[in-house]
Amino acid sequence: MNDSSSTGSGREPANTVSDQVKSRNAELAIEGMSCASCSAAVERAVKKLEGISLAQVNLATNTGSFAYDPELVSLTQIKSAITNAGYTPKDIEGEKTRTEQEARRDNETGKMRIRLIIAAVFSAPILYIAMSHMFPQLGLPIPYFMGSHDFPLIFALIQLGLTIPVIFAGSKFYTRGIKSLFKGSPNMDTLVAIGTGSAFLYSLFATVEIYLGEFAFAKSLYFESAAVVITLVMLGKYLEAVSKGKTSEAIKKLMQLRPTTAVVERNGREMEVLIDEVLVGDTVLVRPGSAFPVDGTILEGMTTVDESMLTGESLPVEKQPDSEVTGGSMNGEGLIKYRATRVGADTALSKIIQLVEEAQGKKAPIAKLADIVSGYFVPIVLIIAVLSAAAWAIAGKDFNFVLTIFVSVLVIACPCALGLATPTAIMVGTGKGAEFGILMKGGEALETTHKINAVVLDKTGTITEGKPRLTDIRTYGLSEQLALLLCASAERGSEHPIARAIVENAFEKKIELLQPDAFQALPGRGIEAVVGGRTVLAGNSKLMKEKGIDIDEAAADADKLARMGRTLMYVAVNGQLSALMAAADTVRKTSREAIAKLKSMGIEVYMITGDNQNTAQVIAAEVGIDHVLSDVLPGEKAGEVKRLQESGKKVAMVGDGINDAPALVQADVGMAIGTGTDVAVESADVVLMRGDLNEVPAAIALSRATIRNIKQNLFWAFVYNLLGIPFAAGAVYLFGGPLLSPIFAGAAMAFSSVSVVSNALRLRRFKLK
Amino acid sequence: MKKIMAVSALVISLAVLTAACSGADVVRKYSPGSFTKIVAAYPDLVTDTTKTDHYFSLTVDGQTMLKISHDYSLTGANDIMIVTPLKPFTDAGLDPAKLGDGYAVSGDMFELTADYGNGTGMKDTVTDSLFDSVTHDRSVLTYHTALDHYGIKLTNGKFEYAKDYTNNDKDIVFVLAADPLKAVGVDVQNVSGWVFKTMQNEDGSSIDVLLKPYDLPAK
Repeated sequence: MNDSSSTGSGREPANTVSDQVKSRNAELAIEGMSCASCSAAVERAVKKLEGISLAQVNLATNTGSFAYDPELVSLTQIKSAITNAGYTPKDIEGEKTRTEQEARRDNETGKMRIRLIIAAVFSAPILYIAMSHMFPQLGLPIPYFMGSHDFPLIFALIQLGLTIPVIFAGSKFYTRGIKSLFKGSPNMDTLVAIGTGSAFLYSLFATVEIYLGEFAFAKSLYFESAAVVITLVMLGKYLEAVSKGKTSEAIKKLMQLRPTTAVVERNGREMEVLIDEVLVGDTVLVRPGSAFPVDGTILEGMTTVDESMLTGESLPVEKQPDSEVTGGSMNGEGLIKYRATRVGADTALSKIIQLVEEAQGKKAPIAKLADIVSGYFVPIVLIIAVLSAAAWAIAGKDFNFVLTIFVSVLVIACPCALGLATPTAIMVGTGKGAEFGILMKGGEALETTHKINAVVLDKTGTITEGKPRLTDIRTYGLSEQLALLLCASAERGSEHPIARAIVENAFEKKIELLQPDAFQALPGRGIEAVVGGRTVLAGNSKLMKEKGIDIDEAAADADKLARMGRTLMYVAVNGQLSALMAAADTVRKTSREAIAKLKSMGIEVYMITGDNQNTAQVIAAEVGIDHVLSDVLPGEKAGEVKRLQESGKKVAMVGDGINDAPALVQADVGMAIGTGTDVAVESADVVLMRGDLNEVPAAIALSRATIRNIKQNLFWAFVYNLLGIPFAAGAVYLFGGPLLSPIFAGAAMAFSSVSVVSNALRLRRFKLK
Repeated sequence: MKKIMAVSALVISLAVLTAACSGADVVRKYSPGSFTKIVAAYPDLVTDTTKTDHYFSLTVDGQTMLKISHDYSLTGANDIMIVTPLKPFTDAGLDPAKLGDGYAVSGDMFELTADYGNGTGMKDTVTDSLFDSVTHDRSVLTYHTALDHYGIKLTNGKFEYAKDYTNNDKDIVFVLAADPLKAVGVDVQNVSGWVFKTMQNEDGSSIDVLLKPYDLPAK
């Protein structure tokens, strides 16, 4: 969503009404970042500005989210701060340019590949020449005129000639690294630039010395270190870019669902138009086997629709006139004509894509540690490199040894692994969730979900279908038909599921309803209406007690029906109990299985409902729930959740997201079960689009797998640096072990980044059990 | 930054090209100078008998010497020779009759000979005479990094001298390949006046040699 009042055109989703006046959000693409130090530098630069309440930069997506007070700071100033820090802010202008961004990223990856090939082609012979020189016992044949002993200058010049193209291929390390050093925020590129630059310049000096007759310098050439390290780091960066592309595959798959054109009927003529040209109200034609281009309501035709890519539900859904269809879903056998109701960015698919993108860009709290460390990492590594080199020099080691230590420490230290550890796993995790119809709204939701040890399930619409049927009518002094007429007429304005069941039953019995003269909804209790001059009260026992209605006459019936798990509604006409109506809701097919899974995961499952204890217990027993919170008014649900939290539980609340909204907000994790197109998307932390309770254990399992993956990544990233830096600094050599060559340091550095991203990609194999 | 990089690259490329054109074979370029410095610093080291036998003779101890022809066209297969007393070798088991190419016995002297063709004409100095062999075949000239020595290869041996005699404790070294001598009955580890050693070749292979090194007195 763009904010037209902004000074720039970054994507600026509107905040809540109360926040809009003082705070505004902006999302920008940021180019030129190579490691966690870069993202930390951008965050630091923006946070220095007055009026910034949030600056969150995601290395994996190369984007930044900023919240700011427009009265104190403008988006232009934010962009300037980023530019001054040495990076390039770019606007994210919505879906239209997303494809262009993809193309640009592919193009950039293609260029990286070419540069890598150039570097590899030139590095391979350097490595061969150097190896034949360093390990003569290998017996690698080398032309006579290139021998390091008899022709040391030629030996050096050939390596120099081969290294220069590699330096050019990796020139970005130098331009970005030196720039960021002068900006006071050195990054990974700085380490590579200083490390390989030192090796190259010293080798250049050695070459001049050889030219001047000091042939011993032939043993002091580090061209191969500079070239091979650059190539290996480029290889790591390239593999990282390819892997990062794969982490956003879920988004790509969602985007590919939507056709680029649509057939619409205008002025009695069919015409094919671009999808962006479809207007709300257009009549859209969809042929068998084609995808629905936008959201809408079916006007003509019957079909089955495959919504699996949107909801994860594998079975096609039957659709008929008045059924809602979602853009991106696949039409089955029928020819369908439907009215477009939501187009462009308003379609469910667009909102899902936006939701997943935003979620992938949000940091998990677990990332904070890595952020803090990486912010100080590069300067500390520079200091360690200088100190360790100085220490060895003081200890009497020659310049070659000292240089090897210096270069190895700089090269092996890799903050990229730290920076990538969390966002890549979150990207893959949230993307994988989207494939299953589980929309996680950010890293925090994903992280909190794995800690859940209590799940509160709303009964109606969550455990049950939420479409109760009227099963029993007991009357007391009125005929059944009159009782149904009065009650259904009174309830026709109510949205309550039982009210709708009563109205539907009256329609089925072809009873012509009356228009109520007055109507008042009494939340959590029922309604009061005037129908045909009679005052009708319909609701639960609490309402009857409040209004002084004696319901003792219905006690036996009520007890019997409640034991059968029926939801009861008392009807009083003109202050007299007149009927007891009972409705039953159908338990979802998967509820029992899902609850068993949750329990097997060690999670306590609670059912929360406004039903009385007896009714609630019957449903709870049917689905295997031990803990029942009954007789809870909608307004009290949040309080029940809070009580559980106060007892030390991490609570997930699962509801339909409308009447459960306060409880969803109160819970540690609010899970809205539904289509993902309504208020639920806004209010919950997790949206379960398939409407299947099995998605609750799946979401928790996915969260646990993702957090486990993040912890593995962070562990390896920290361990790698904790072990690698002392090794490179000569700690092992000190105790008689080997000295790490800069080449192996470069390989280890590349390996660390690639291993972290590869580990995150393992999440793509996550399967629902 | 790109311009700076491009200019740097151009400068480096030019430097490389210039260096390459102006004599990339620095061993060839600097090695005669080192030899000249030694013979200039120690004039008694070389005896010029070119007028009588066409040779310059270089010796430190007066026994083992390097004989260098001043005109290769006049000296047949004996353009450069290491000449040393025969007795220590015969004492160690040498059967002179079995000696092959590259060896000769002249009276009580044992000779290692080398033929570098007809040369490029008569030379006036010992350095020019020595390096006419390199003109004939560049591979004759070597640089031994570990000892900081230049070397002139003979058929079965080598003459080495310090690149910088002021900073070397082995300024002149005569080297004989041990294996051919072993093949003709010499107990190579027991040749009086010679040190047996297994050396590492530049290509990583090892070779057994007999060495006679000299440290010239400081000047």
